[in-house]
Amino acid sequence: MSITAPEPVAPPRRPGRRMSRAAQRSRSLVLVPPEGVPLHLSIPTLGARIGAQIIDLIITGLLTAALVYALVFVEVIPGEAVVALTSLVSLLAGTPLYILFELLMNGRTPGKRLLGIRVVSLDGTGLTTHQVVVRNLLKEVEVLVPIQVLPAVFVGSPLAFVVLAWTIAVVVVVWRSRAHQRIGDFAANTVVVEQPSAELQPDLAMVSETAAEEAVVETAERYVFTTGQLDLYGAYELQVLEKLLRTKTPAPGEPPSQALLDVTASIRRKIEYPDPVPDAEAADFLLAFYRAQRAFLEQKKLFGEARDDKFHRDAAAGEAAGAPIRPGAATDPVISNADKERQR
Amino acid sequence: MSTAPNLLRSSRFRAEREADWRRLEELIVAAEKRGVGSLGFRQAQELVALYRQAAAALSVAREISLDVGPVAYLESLSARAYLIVYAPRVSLGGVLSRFFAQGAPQAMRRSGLAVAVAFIGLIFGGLLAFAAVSADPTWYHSLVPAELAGGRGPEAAAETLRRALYDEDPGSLGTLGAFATSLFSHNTQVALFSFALGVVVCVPTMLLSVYNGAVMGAFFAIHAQKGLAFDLFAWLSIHGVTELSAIAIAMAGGLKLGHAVLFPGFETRGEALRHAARDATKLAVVAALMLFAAGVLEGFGRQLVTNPYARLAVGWGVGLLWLSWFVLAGRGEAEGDRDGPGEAP
Repeated sequence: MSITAPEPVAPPRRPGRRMSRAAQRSRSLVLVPPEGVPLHLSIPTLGARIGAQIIDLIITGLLTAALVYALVFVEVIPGEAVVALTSLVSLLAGTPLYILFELLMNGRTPGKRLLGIRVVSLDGTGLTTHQVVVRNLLKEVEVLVPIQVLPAVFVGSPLAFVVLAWTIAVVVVVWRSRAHQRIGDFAANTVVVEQPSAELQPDLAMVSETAAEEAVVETAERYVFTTGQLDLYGAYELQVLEKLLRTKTPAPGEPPSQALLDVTASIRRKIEYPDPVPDAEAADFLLAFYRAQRAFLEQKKLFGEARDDKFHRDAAAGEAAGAPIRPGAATDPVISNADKERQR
Repeated sequence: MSTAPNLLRSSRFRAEREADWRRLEELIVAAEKRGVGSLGFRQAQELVALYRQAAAALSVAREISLDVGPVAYLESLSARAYLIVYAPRVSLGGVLSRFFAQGAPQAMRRSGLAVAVAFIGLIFGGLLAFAAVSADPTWYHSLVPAELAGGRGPEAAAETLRRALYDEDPGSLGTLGAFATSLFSHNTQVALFSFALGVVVCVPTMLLSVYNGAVMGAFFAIHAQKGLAFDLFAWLSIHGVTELSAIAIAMAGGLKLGHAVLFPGFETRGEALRHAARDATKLAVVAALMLFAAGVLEGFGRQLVTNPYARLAVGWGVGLLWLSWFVLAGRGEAEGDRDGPGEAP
């Protein structure tokens, strides 16, 4: 089981703030189910965790208030007993209720469900009752006790300051742990992840057989690339191009965006494509190039040569020389970088 | 280099399986919305088979597919299906009956020694404080915190003490009621801390155990001087048997954790702690249940039952019930109780 936060490749020290925020956004966790295929789940932000807890507190608070009010209203309980009754009911509406929710809703409480997060077991099997009980019993100590005691800091109670120190420790643990686990998560070997969701996007390399797109097929097939022209880029560039085509392809009849034209120009320059490409056909050109490049790279991969990015030749040469060279700029958008590369 | 349409290996791979993925997505959406229970037998079977296929397809797609779309989709599809297939399939009744019939009593019997140690700490503290306060009543104030004493001390008259023990007005929560509530929450805190602080190599737990015994002993000492020892014993018995046992059990849970940290054996400390936590958690839940029962006994029983013999009978009777649960339940069943599906004992 491993928790990965992508680390900067080349220089270990980068300008702090932006980098750490980017790292935080892409925090992910590898879970290996019994099937043995690792699944990458993303870690929610602390905001989502806190938000879910607040929603849960509001729900249990309302429940408690409604129950106590109803009992007092029908005069089952004398008015003086309200304090004792409230503490009793809120005791029941706290940890036991959370345990119940997480057991019956498969690792979710109402708040977690609303914010799209859930608890999973780190060992790759289902959550067990023991895990749910442990993480929620410790939640009582980590979250609920501080909430009740901390207001006493303002009256200067010494116990409250001890609890304050404890709360700070709890927050630091959650904040510093890579998957934002709290102590209860560590004890129960669980982690809170985002509910996964993704749509299947259409395959760009798939040529549709409907009549409407036949015109596109024809234009796309007009562009033919040589092996030398396809030899430059790797999988990373291909995927950047894929993303660009998915987001920037103009609707039929509309002029292509400037980004598309820029990329077309720099690719043409880089691969030394001889024929002119009219602006209106920039998207078709790129699509044709994408298909050809993907077919080429897949074939290479089939024969055992995986090309990660455009530096594949440097890497191959470096490995041959015994000193692997790892380019540092691999995270920059590569196609716009193509010019710099050329000037070197 | 020609781009023959639809001949890309990854495209064909995707086209062949896409219908299955869509079907799996339908089943997942249905299960997420209305629960796995809403699926029929065939559908559930289909879901599992399709999940295995999707996981295998993900594995292949990662290797051969150069477009991110299907890989990202399969990743999330498999994860969603995994979360449904490997959900805790427990029913509330099942969890509760297993806990009461096997888990809790077996854990209690495994932790007999720790419970005994916690009780010894309580009794030791009690005897110590009883002797100290009997010899010199001023010890009382340094042992019992003022808010717990509720105005009762060595200087209080015997009549005041007696009136506090036999509250004549059962319905209202008078001074004694307030004290009972505060004692209830005080003891809950003690139980909580002695459990949680057990991790720190047992020391705080043992200190709390001795100290709590001392409070009790000091209390007894001042009542004994006024000839009210038996009445106090009866007053405390009705809920105290349950409540003190609960505290001792919580302490035993803490001691188990501390023991795992001190003597991890052949495991790492983390593993030993996790292992010990299996029983310790059950002890904590038992303690919480008993504290709750004690609170109920305290809130209602003590005000309603004012005869000292009846108080004794109720208190020790309930104590006997707890004991017989711990000693008798869950015998003959397979040891190594299982908490849920797919879990190592």
